[in-house]
Amino acid sequence: MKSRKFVLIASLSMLAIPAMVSAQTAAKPKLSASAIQIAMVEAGDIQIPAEFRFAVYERLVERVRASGTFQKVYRTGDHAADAVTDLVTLHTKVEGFKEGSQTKRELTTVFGATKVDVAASVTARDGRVLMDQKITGRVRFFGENLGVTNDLAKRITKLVGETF
Amino acid sequence: MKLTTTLIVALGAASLAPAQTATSSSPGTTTAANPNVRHVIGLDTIQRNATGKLMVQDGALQFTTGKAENKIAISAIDDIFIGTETTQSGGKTGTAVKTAAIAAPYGSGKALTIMMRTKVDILTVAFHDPDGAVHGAIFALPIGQAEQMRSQLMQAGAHASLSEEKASDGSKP
Repeated sequence: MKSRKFVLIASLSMLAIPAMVSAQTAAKPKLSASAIQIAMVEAGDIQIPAEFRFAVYERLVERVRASGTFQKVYRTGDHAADAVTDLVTLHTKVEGFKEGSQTKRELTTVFGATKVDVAASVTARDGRVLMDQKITGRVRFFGENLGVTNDLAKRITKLVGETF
Repeated sequence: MKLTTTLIVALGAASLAPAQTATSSSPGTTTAANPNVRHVIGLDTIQRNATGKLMVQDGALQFTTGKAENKIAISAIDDIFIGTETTQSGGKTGTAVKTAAIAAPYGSGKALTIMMRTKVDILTVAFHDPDGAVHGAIFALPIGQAEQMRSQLMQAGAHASLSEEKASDGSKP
């Protein structure tokens, strides 16, 4: 009798799992916007070389365009974006930067990683925050320190793609 | 005695002459091309990591590869930054050699990592297009040449904030 009850409970709970998963999925509906404007990477008080800021910005424009999530991708300052009513803006603010060493990375594979911590957020025209998350970009083994910008842009683009 | 003095003076003048010419002409010329410049990112019509010539000509910063060309109007330049980066020498061949060296026994291939290091200047040019959209073109130049290029651009009328003269003083090797 006891074993029958156990089997019944187990079967019911297994049936409930997909329902729970679909409920969770349903709880996060994707947002929609026809266009996005990529704002220039803000450094705040963090000392980060200009080439890193511009490389993140350029790679973000490139990757978000390639992702096809939005019909139009505008750069910061683009006057053409002014007329778009459902425009959203991607902001990236640097919260931490550690410049590593490519030689150390390749010799030790443990030390010398370059790391950039950012807060990425997407806001609507009315200022509503549609997405806000902290992301870390890293270059661990091979490649120039500037390679961290590619990793970061890849992660941010993935996150934006999951939201829109 | 007189002959010796004349010879010393003549030799001294001869050795000084080329150095002075090089110093005075380098920042002044607006057409001097920087060969072996690598385009890191930022120019729409040029592939990433393409190597070419960077020069200031006809009121524009011009980057030319064998296949393509891109011009940035001097008047569109908003700022210029200089930094440094340590990278791998040898271009694509260098990458292939280093990848092959990974398979070398007892990690001996890692010695190549040290030998194949080269320091480059990073020149970042912030500019805007006719719609006002901000762009950033990043170039890797042979060490010591970014400052020269920056001077040429500024002499040609490009805007550059002096407060941020050095974007990064020296990346770790």
